[in-house]
Amino acid sequence: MVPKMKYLIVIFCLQVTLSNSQNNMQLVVRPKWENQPMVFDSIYQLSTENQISFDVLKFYISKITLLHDDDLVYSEPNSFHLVDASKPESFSMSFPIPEFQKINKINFILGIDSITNVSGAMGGDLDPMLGMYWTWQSGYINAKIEGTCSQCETRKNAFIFHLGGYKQPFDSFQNISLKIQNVSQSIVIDFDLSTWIKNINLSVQNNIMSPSENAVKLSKSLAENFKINRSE
Amino acid sequence: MKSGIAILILIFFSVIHTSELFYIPAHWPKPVYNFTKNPLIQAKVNLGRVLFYDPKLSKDYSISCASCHSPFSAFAHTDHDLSHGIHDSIGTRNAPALMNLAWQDVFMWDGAINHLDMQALAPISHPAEMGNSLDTVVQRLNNDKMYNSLFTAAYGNPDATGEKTLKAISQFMLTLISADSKYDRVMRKIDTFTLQENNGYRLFRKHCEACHKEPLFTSFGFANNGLKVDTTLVDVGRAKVSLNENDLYKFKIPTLRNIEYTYPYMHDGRYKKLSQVLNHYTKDIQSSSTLAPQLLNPIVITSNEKVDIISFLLTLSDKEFVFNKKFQYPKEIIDSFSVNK
Ligand code: HEC
Ligand code: HEC
Repeated sequence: MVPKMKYLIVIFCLQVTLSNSQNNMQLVVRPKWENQPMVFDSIYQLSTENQISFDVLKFYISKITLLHDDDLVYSEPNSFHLVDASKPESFSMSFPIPEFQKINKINFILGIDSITNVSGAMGGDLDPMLGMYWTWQSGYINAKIEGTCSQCETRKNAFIFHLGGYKQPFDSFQNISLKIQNVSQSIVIDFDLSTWIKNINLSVQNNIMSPSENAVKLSKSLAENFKINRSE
Repeated sequence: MKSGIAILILIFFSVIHTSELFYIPAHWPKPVYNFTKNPLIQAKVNLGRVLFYDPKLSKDYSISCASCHSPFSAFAHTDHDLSHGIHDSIGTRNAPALMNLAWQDVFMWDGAINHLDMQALAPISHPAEMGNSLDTVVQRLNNDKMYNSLFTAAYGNPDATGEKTLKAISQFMLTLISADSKYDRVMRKIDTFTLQENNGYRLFRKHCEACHKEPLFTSFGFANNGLKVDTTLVDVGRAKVSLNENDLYKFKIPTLRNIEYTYPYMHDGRYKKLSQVLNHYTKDIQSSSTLAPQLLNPIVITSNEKVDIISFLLTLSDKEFVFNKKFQYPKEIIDSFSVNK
């Protein structure tokens, strides 16, 4: 009887320590221009003739889950993050995962899913006062990218991309799944604006402000430019 | 255990509160608004009512929601075909009546708004309406002593946010239930129709019920009811939102409750009188590829029958609703929350 009790106590203590020992997995999402951090108002070379600079870059990362060999390790509750290039503190997130647990895959949504889009007013990063909600037609703006480019024959050479839409056939939020080498500490995702915007002919397409076929296309290619940084 | 009991008590009280502010009239369907995410309480309804009547929500402090949605016209905008906003700018559509909004799933003539909470954002931000932004409104509210106290009463702390502001406005709008017209009393068997009203009701059920479905007098769908396209506005209606040509010129089927008070009629306010509306349905239906199937064959009724239908429509007037003090300018709340108290 007594040894058995001891055994139980040991198990109990072990469980307590196991469940208490957690590790903070860091996720950093970095907006880049080629290999450098993207800096507002810096003038970048888009092509030999054309120059470009950015003044707004905001996007939602939501519904984050961390996996190991397709087993769910962590699913963030109430997972909505507005990444704003003007606020570097918004680039990092952290999740409590069990100690010694490794991760080799991360899934998330670039943008806001359909159900959240029809759920009424919400707070935090989803608060409509943050300007990431369309006013005249309901729906979150998944990503805002604005700037100027010599190629745009618009007022002040401005381009504006407000990508969103949650209803078929113009649902533009993107499920992203990225494989990682086994990690236990941090994940770094780079979003290279240069490869995305070089695919757009800015002299023709420089203004999207509502859900449409083009918004869906640009959202898909946006998602393709989120990549794991393997060097760090 | 103790906290369990406390939670139970809390739930109990919130249910009680909700039932005082909101009820489902007999024989009505279940509302679609999700109250669990925004349970009604008196202090939030009060806050919402003050916001609804406050011109501070507009850029130049000149107009409030009530400027276009007056309680005395069942919260529609009478006398103007197209609603007027700040700097006397004119919008492109007629302000609809506001009532029984908890049963409605999409809003605006084209259904562009998907949730009641999000509705207020549209007029606040529209350059021809209030010309402001929610961000600025929230800042103004945070800098205002009266609102600090109203928010504290409603949410337990003085900080205004976009979410709290929008939800409070919804709370007030959700209390706007109109279910006490003569029609309702007849249905409850405590009143009777005159012969003329009764004949009008029969004709209504035959010709109008498919779209203006009882008891809310709308099926909440969209339809092209054959209006001639106004070439100065060229409003494509639902198609503007869906980008689908099958939706061209379809508009929200409006409720006909309180129709006596909500003139002018239709999305662009083109008709001032119900007799004109009836003439439209009998004589002026424009055929097009999206015309509602129910209106393909002309409605044939005599002019006496038109009068009968109108006399029935007038039984949908709810004086209790239109003159309900709880829905009007919140003088008593503003007085009790004012700074120099
Ligand atoms: C300048 C006039 C104006 C002001 C101010 C205004 N509205 Fe409206 N409202 C309208 C018009 C016009 C529509 C219909 C617009 C459309 O369908 O495109 C409308 C539609 C609505 C609807 C949808 C009703 C339905 O049945 O679909 C609601 C709810 C509403 N307004 C609430 C508000 C609230 C709350 C405010 C204050 C924050 C407000 N309105 C301020 C003119 C106004
Ligand atoms: C096919 C569906 C349909 C049928 C049938 C129909 N209506 Fe309508 N009704 C509508 C739609 C849609 C509108 C709004 C149209 C617009 O503004 O573009 C409307 C608008 C109205 C309005 C104006 C409401 C307002 O607030 O502006 C009145 C009054 C009205 N209908 C009465 C009737 C009557 C009476 C009948 C039967 C004779 C009838 N309707 C049959 C679809 C229908």
